Amino acid sequence: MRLERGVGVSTSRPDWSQSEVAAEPATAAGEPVDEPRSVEVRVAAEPAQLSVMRAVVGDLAMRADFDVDSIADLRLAVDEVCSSLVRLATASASLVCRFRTEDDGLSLQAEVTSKDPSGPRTGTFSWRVLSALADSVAPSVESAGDDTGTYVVRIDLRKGRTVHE
Amino acid sequence: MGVVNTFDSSSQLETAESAESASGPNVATAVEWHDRSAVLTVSGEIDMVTAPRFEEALLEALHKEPATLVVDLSGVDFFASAGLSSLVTAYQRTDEHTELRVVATNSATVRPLQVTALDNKIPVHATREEALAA
Repeated sequence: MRLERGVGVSTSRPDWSQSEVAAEPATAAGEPVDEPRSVEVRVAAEPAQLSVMRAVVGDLAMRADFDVDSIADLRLAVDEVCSSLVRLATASASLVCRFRTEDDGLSLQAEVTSKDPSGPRTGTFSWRVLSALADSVAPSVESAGDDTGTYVVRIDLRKGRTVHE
Repeated sequence: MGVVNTFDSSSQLETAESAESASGPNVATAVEWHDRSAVLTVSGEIDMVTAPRFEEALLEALHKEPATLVVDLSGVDFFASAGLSSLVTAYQRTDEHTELRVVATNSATVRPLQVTALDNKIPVHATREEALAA
């Protein structure tokens, strides 16, 4: 089980710095990532996998030239997002994070499948930390749309880049 | 702490898995004494997986009633809200006999303390020497 713990990183361009323009079709498994500045990561919705998401966002933020404090903030914010979702996840659910770097910031959509329609608990210390770190954070819940009676719980987060002179 | 119940099954799973794999986050703690002051040196990552071990080490050190407990987080490269909660728990357990101080040197530990304003309650120092001398 540890050998294939489902860390699926799909990026159409590992180094998206400048010059390269033409978007190649994504060849990685899973849903195709339709443009070069998006990265989707799917792991088992387990606490031990949070460090994978932290590593990914840390790397993305570093490449996107965020400053050291913002990188720390983003790693912390992503960890708080993912830990609140992991707490809600059904057994054997996946945690999926879609990261997108933009010219002026980084956004994330994270989701798990849950039996609980009430969504993430927003009265927690973790949520307060999260709200302080991100420019915007929005939870949402919708029916999974199949006959399992489960829900897709999402958290959308965005953090802008501090502009340096 | 109602969260603990719903989270119980997966954390048991995690314990079983970490026994056979070194891929998860890890934290190491050590205590040394300088007269009546204790220094708790912590290294690794403090997140929802490892925070219970961090908290255990904090409370164990406090139990020995040091005059000052310096929590040296210099070697910590990730510090989540679970770790901040542990620190708050320790802070609440201190009484007039013990003073709690923190050493934090990098963004991974300084930022969480700043963002939560915990650094207003618990003094944060840049070096262990400074924390011991304060």
